[in-house]
Amino acid sequence: MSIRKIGSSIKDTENLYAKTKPLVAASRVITILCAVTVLYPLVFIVLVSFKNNQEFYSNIWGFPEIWRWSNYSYAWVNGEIGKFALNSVIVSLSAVLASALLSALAGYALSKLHIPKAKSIIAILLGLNFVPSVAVFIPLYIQLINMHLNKTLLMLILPYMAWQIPFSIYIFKNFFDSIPAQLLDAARVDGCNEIRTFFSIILPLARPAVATVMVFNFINIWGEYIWASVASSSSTKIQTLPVGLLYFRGEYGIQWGPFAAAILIIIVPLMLIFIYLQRYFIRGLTAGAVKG
Amino acid sequence: MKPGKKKSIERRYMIIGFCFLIPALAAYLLFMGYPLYRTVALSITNWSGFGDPQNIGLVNYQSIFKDKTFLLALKNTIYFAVFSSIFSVLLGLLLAWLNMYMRRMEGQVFRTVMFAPSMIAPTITGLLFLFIFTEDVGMVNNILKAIGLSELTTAWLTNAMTVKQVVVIATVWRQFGLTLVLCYAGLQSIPNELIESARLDGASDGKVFSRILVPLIKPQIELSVMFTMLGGLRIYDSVVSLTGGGPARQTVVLPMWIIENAYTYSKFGYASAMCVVFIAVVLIFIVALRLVFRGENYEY
Repeated sequence: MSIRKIGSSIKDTENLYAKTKPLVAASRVITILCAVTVLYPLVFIVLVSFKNNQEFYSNIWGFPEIWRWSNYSYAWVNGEIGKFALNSVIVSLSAVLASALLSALAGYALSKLHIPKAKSIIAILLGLNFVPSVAVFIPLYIQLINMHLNKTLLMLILPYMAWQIPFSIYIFKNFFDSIPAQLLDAARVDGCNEIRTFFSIILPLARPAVATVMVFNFINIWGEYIWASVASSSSTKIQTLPVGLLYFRGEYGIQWGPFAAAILIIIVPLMLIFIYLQRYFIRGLTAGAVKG
Repeated sequence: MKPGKKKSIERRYMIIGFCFLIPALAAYLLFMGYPLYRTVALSITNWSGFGDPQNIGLVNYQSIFKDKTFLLALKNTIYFAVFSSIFSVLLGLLLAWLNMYMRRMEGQVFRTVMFAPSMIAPTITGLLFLFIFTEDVGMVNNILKAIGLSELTTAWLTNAMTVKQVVVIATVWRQFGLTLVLCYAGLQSIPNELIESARLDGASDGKVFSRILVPLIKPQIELSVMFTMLGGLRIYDSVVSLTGGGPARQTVVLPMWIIENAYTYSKFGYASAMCVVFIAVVLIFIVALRLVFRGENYEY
């Protein structure tokens, strides 16, 4: 860590790029413009979430006259966002944890345990990763019903877990490739069995990869709409936030304020998780990218 | 250590390795591999949800290519994938390069801000842009009116001339943060000496960018294109929430038409055949991208 810090401070004082002054200025202007374009819609939604419909139409740009927190409780209670949120949390957490565990084990095996043709297996998995999931909906739905899983959240958890596996294995394998084999040998000489080596030595080292996989999969699963809408056609009990949100929009005509509040209830938790994990996330993602 | 002994140790680890690998592969095969095989099998039947599927050969495939909505959906899917990918990658690359000119903390803050939309679900992105482009209360029309360009206002989402561009803009807004972060990581790992020596030879910043930096980060650019283009082929959620496929099916995309055939008309066999064609399109894109980006990567 300290070496990294020293390295970065040297880089800072010798930023070669910063010598071209006009470009430094231009980069600021363009970047700020883009950042504002990105942020403004979000700020706009925050402001809308405190207005009622009448104020939304008469005073679209300004701050709300009174901050109507009641929009949030309206969305939570009348829009049943609370119920959808609970489903989403259960589904996302279980699918993310399960796929991370399975993929970490598989990625470790492919990287360090002498599996023959490991390279080809990874290439095939990465190709499969891009097969659109919609291609399996029809048989999958029937299969899950035959397994007596309809009306349970497993209908969502199991497929979500499985679909994230190829890309997660890819990230893990790239990361494990960068761990020196001597480290493993040392642990093995100390008499650790393979499972203990994995959980007590390998996994803690792989924290950036774990964070990357978890954030990436969480983003995908938390917002997944298409399978969630197909799977929950058999039961409204298993609707998740994205499905519930579109339902909320249709059901009440658009109540812009509560609607915006509901959108924020979905976005904000994700932002907080990301800001907390971003240091690891970007490192893990790009470690895989550089060697990809 | 004798070679024979080493072999046997390797074999022991290989057995453990298979035990580690199999749960993941089994889960994947059960919920993706097997259903995928079933889809291919269903695609040559006329199954409509009841009774046993009857084999009708390639009839479904013949009708697919006479299906006007399918062809339009295919065209739209490719349009959205290609254009949103090109603009996301160009914008991300440009901003990543400009990011190098900033101070460390400053750059970090801007990267975080611009990455934020990548976390927002496509459904939500669609809804956000609904706020922005709606005709009567939308942000864009209000801005145009405020700066005296009211003749430019239009019903962005129901005007067939503009609605596709709006979908592309929404997708680029959501994606360019990811390409920015990937390209930035590449640029950052390029050693200073390379740039320094090019400068000494009198290369301008633009030349350094186009002749040195871009070729060196080809792997990251390729990854960005893969992510955005192959992801773009699957675009569905944001179109549903933004346009619902309208006006008059102008923005219909493949998953939408597949779902409608399967769950509204119960044409499961026909929908499965469309799925198979969809997979073939994705494979063609993967091969094409590999060809475009083939050739050596430069080592440094």
